[in-house]
Amino acid sequence: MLIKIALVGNPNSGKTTLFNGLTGSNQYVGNWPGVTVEKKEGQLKGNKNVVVVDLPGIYSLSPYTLEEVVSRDYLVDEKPNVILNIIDGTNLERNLFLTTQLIEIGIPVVAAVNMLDISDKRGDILNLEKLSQALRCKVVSISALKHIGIEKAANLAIKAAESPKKLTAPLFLGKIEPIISNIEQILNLDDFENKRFFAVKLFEKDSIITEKLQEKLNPQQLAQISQIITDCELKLDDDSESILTAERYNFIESVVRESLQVNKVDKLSDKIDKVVTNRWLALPIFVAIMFIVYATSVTGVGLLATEWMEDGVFGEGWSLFGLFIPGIPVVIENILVSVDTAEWLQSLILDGIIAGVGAVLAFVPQIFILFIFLAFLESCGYMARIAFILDRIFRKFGLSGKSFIPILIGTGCGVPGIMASRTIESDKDRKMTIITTTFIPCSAKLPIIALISGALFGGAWWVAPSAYFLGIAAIICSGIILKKTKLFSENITPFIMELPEYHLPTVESILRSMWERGWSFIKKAGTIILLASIIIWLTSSFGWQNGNFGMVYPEYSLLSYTGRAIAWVFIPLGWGNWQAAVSTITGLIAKENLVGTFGILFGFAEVAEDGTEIWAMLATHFTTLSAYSFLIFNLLCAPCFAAVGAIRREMNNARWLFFAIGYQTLFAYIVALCVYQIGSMFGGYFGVTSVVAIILTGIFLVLLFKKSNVKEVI
Amino acid sequence: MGTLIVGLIVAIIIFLAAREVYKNRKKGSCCSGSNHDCNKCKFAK
Repeated sequence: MLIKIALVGNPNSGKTTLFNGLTGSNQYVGNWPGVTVEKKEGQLKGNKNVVVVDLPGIYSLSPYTLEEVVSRDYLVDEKPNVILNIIDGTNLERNLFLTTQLIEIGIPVVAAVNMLDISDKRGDILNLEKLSQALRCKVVSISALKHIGIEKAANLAIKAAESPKKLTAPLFLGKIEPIISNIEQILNLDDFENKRFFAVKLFEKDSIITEKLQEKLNPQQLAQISQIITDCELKLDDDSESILTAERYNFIESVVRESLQVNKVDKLSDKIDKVVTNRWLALPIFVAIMFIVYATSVTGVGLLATEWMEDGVFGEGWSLFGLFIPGIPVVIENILVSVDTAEWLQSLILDGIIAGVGAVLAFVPQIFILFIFLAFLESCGYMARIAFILDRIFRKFGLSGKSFIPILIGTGCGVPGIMASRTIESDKDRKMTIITTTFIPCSAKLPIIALISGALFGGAWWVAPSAYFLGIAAIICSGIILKKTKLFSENITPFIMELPEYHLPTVESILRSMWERGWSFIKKAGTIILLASIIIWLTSSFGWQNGNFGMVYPEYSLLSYTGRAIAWVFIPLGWGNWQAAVSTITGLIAKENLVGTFGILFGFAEVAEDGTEIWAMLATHFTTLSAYSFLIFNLLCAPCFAAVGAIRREMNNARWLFFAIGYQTLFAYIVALCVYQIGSMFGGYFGVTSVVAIILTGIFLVLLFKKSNVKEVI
Repeated sequence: MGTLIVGLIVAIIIFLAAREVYKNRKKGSCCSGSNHDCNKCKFAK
């Protein structure tokens, strides 16, 4: 006989960890509500006849969330043989609310109390026998993380499934029990195996269940039930759902009083929270932690590792204990030359594939180090505190409290910044963060700032800070405006969040999380980025020169012709010259390419990072205003190819990818246009484009200050 | 000869990459690649 065990429990109760322990499944273990949204199945280790079904983490069987409806439908309609209810022992009262509802379904229940080791440490004593008597089901203590007691829990569940005894649901205290029994009597039909469950749900006026039963009950029965509920509501002066919730908590309170002996001393988590979420200390502590994350993963070890990848592994080579190891391009070039490969093929492999894929793979060490930190912050429970501390500020402009991390990481590099948005569980907040993260100047954009600042502004101090200010303003304005659109609008719900107990995560779970996230990035570099690198190589290496098509210098390539063809688009922005347009396109490959391209197009084989050699020539092609407009456009428009790939990966939807790139480019164009045209008006110029700029500025301000339709739901 | 062999290897790599992209095109189509694994389209976050 095939036994189906349904694993049910609150979010963060350790359900996914238990599922992994029971089935050996290699599933991501996280600390966030909603990690398990889909139903997952797995064979019990060592017993092929037992299937464990992992249901979404839920707080109750009320139909308020999709997860609750999915779980309830599964339990009621598909009837597993036994329910293994995982209970967070550190949060007994809240977890037992679901248990009381599960027992009503009529399927055998085995309760597995998890994390008792943590409550033991703080001196709480739980009497499992008393708890078992009160709940009228088997109760076992486990530690899902340390794999203690999980086998016993599975065996008890199998036993309960093999000899199912009908459970008697815990009796409600007070006046409610006779009313529920009365409804049960009215439902006295053979069809209703779980009479108790349906009676309770009807009393609660559960819309989905009521609709389901409408066909099975006659009008007389429905009228009788409705009358009973109305009478009870009038008598107790409350709505039926609240009455039942209060009754459940009365029951739970009595159970906990009987079975749990609480140590009154402050819990360690509470002690930490008194400091970490303190009104005055929370932000400085947060800044300090973020500084460590940033300094290590983006500028410290991460940067060193990335430079090693760029200059060593994908460059000339590196030294290991005095032994020189040549870089991959050098090794491949030697092989290609030795087997006498054609020049175009050498160029395709070295300048196209290895340069393109290598540029993206160079970020791997940074990403891995960053994800170690993020996995640790998530698993230990601090990420929930970050959301709590920053949500109030970020919510004002339509972002989540957790959007801060992607934006901060984005100042180093947009790719890990975009990938860091994974910790945001709200789909809309995450998409909004992905779209706006690259507005903040990343390190690759710094040479562009240095070039414009040096060539046109005499190295003025304010140019670089203004670029960051512009990035922050773009994020805030986009957040406010986009939140007013149908795509992103959602009613503001009160910020309710569970702060999980602090605990030290295992090295295994952190490394697994890091590897799963990092591997998806490596896979992307080997597939879509490889193909895109080849396309870019083709367009930048081939073209027409002297009437012949073939391999040409960059200024004659297909890419440069594209630049010349679209240069007119940028005339209203003040820089319609083809060199600027071509540089902007090559900037999409990698932002730092922009300075080098300018160098090549102005006749230099190679230029310094800040392009000192071309400052004078650049000054003849730009005015200070058009140069600033050029800077604005290149800072805010679509990011480099690697970041676009990261957006594609995170959005996982072509339409959303194009929306993100389209929005960023349009936003950049409008801002650059308005700045150039309105700036020109101060210089005495007024034309059609000035009118367009004024109208666009007006629309922008209206959208920014327009009252939002978003309602606050309490 | 060298060009032919290396060209063939590059062509195979391009084919494999393109096949992988083609295979993955439907992943996340039903769940929009949201923040979880999806059993329907086998999207793995």
